[in-house]
Amino acid sequence: MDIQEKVIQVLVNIFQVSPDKISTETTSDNVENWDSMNHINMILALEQEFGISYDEEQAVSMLSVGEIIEVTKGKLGLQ
Amino acid sequence: MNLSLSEIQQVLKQAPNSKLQGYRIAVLRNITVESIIPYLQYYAFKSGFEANVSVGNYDNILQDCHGGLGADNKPVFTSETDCILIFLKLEDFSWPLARDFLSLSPEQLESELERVLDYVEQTLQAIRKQCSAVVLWHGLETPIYKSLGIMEDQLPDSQSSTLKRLEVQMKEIFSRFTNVFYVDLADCITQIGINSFYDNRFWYFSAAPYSLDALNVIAKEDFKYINALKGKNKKCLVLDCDNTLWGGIIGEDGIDGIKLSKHGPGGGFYDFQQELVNLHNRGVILTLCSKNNEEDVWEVFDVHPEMLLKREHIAAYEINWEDKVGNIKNISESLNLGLDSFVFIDDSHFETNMVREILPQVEVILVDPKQSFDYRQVIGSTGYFDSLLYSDADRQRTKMYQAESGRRKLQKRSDCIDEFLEKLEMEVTVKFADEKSIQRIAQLTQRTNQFNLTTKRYSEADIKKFIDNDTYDVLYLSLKDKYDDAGIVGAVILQFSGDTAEIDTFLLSCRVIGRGIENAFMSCVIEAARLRKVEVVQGEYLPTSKNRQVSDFYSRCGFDEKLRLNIMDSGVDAPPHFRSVIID
Repeated sequence: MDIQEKVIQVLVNIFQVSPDKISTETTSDNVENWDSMNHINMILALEQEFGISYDEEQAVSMLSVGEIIEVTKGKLGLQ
Repeated sequence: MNLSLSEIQQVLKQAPNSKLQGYRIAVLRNITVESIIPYLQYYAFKSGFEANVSVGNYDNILQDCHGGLGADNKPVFTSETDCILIFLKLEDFSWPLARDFLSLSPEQLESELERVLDYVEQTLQAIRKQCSAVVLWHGLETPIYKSLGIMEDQLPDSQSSTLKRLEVQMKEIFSRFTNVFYVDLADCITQIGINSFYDNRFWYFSAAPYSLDALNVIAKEDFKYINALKGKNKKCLVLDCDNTLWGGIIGEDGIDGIKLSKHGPGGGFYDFQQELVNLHNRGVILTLCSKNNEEDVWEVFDVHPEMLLKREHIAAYEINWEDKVGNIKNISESLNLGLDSFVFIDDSHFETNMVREILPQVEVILVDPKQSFDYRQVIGSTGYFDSLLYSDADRQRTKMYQAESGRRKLQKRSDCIDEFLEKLEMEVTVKFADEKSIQRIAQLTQRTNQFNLTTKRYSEADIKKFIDNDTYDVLYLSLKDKYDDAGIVGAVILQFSGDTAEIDTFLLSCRVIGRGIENAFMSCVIEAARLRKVEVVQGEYLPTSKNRQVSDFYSRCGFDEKLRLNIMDSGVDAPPHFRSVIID
């Protein structure tokens, strides 16, 4: 699985939505369960998945799938 | 193995929730612990409950106990609530006690301690006025950095000593209420280490102190209590023998060859056995389920000097060559104990997967004999058998079950086992031996005792001679399935003379017995004979003390009483669950 697929899989699990509801275009506004509490869960779950740790600012600002993928790739040194 | 949060959510999403019994949990807290919800739901699901978790208002424990409304405008807990978890983190409740200890005057200290104890008592009184739910109070965390450094432990009135005393006083209050239990967070911290326990990033801006790993451990710990109180704790442990109770295979390595001793090789097994004896003394039923000749196993029990586990510890056993699913069912019936109170422990991927798949009620533990040093920890850390009662009756339990247990008839293989074998996607490959396989084939002839028709021992040079000799065929069988590549696990040596192929050697490693592989192998042997255009295959059985299980192998394969088979009459086929039987 590449990074994009893994990110989407985590979001699908955390927000409990079907995979077709999450694309690179998705933002926190389009997903019902993407509230502040689940946002933290999402950050923590992504960190578990990729074995990384986001900075405080990144963690707060990653509000779209596109951005999550960008930041995660950066953290993994893939950019 | 711990699942990640994402994996847990996936399990929960796929979980069939209709049939599960509901279990209402209320969380009262002065910190942010919402991320524990999926873990609570997960452990509830594993225990057969569907958890309904409501979380009280932030830093409102006592108010919530007096009818405070939660996020959905309903009371945080009611008389229907099954369990209340309380997280009162000292940093938030009493900064001076937790963080500014050295500034406290004796009078201030006294009044702070009193305030904490009052709060605990009032909270519990308020809860008990409304409901009898189980209360799990999460204990005090020890300060990470001691306020006086190394001097701390030398003084009876230091912060650490004071908090320990406070803890004891809290426990005294708990003991005055029914169904109020103390969950030691210090234990949870020990399990995963303090650096993994806290995630400081979310502490300052959202008052969430614990990492996901910490919340997982805490939820798991909570459910040890809940399971014990709901009778969901496990009662019976089913033990494999070879490579589980001792290192090696008794039928192959013999009593002097297996690894089991207090010091040196086999130390992990010895220590594991002590843990099993401890479980027995706690009232856990120990049983054996092993593919072995029965007397081989009892010989170890009776004769091996370092065997801590004795016959009298074993309440029931199934030691035979049948499948373990049927055997575990037999044990369950003979003890009259439900499968949902069973834990099965084995070192084989095959056996553990089969039981997990067909008997999902049974909790399955896979151990790795290469890491026998961890066996004790594997069984000790689960808490499966934890109970909140301990009495003399527990010590007597095995005797009671031994008396009840009668040997039952072996069950026929059920359809679900064939289905399981099907799903394993076993690939059997049979080939003519070549240079690369000589070493392993020779090793197999030297070490295989049980599924070995003639027990003829050959060196590598012998095998090479057979391969080079035109009147011999040497075949080997390798096995692979979805989980595991077992490598070369069987060998056959055929000698041809005239119209006859004589089976000089036919053997299979005991690791793979019981899957129908022998039939697949025999069908290839007949195929090889056919290639040589012979008409008759001649078998031979040389009985030893170890190979009784194959005494009727040739008759099962359709050979006549002289162990002869006319190739034209051959009806041996590979069982349908093999994906491929290749001969090249």
